[in-house]
Amino acid sequence: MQRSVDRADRAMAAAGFEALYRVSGWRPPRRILWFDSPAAAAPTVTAVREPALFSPGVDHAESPAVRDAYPAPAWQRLQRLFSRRIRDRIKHLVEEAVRERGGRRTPALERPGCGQHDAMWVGAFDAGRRLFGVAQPRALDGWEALTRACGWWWAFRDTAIACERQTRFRLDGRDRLHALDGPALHFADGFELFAIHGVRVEPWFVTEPERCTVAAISEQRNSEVRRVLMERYGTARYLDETRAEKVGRDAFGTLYRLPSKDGDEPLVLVEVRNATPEPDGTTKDYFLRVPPTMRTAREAVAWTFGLDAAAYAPILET
Amino acid sequence: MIYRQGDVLIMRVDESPDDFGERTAVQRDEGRIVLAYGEVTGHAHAIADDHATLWLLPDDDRLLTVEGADVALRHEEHATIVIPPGTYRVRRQREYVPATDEIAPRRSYVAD
Repeated sequence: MQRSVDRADRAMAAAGFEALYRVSGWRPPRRILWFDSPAAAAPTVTAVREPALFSPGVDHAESPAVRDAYPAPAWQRLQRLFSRRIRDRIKHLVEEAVRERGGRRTPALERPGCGQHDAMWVGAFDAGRRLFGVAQPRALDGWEALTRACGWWWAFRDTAIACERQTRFRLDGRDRLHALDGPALHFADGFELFAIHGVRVEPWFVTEPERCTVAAISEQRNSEVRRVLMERYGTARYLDETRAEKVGRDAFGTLYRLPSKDGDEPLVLVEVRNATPEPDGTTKDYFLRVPPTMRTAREAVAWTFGLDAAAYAPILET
Repeated sequence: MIYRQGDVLIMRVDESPDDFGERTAVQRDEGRIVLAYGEVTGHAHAIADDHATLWLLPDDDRLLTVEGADVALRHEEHATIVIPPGTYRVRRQREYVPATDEIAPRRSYVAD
């Protein structure tokens, strides 16, 4: 559902809006306006001068009434299983891109129904119903239909606004927007964004990797962007060529520190050697980002397992 | 006593499993206890022996209990680790994600 790139099912969306308005005590919307992307819808969303309906999924999911219907451990588990992560990451990146295109921030614009990207909440409520017999919030029927039918949407007194689904959607193994052969997210009207492992990057990072040089990477202000570009370039090669400060080296690895720009946090990386050799006999090194407060490689590696340096002493590593 | 296999860490604890509060047994996957899956490769850190159980704790940590005899923790790319009977915490390696205005810091697991 979340990954679907099919055209929206407009009849199902209309039925979804109707159900949603009905449980809110509103008559159905007078009109449903369709757009090809959230960016295309944004000017209209900010211009509408009508009261807005809440976004039922999020509001309901966070309301005490819903939470208290679950046994506490079950609620915690559900939250973990269906974290808001995927939806919020996508929402955050899309909103940023919409703003850059001149979108004004308004409360309504920032509270969309995310349509297909709300899929995990529908899943969470469905699991709640099946596993714990918790009644679905009434607004969920309409909300679920919209999640199945279309992309982002907004509901105002007389006007409902709905978007077509994305036409391209790529995630990495950890459900982060990611593509190295084009945009990670693309809509029919050309609105798109490029991302590497969940970090939004300028299109050329993806389309023209040869422009990814030490100088270009070092110019990046955002340390997360710098990090994904470094990986693309080769972290070891980048650290070597920039003469990154070697903070320390011990039996657990090597700690590197790259100074920050503009008050951003420094990038501190620990290089760890894989204990088991590759089939060709070489050993693979890998880099992990650690908090800037780390002082030794041992402390840094211990942190990656949630331990203090003193407690971290594996007797066997493979 | 700490064992590490790639990005999975197993740490022996002195407490009894009952000291950790309410715990839920994690279902086996095709008969194996899987401590962690690889993200891309489909490889897994797994135990096939019957006399071990993986538990989910209320604090999201996981507990491995091994009863009676040693078990073998296997992975396609790492040497096998033999784990003697006992109670162990299981941790997966994480990476630091800096806080930003809009996204709270959260744990991010490293690729296998």
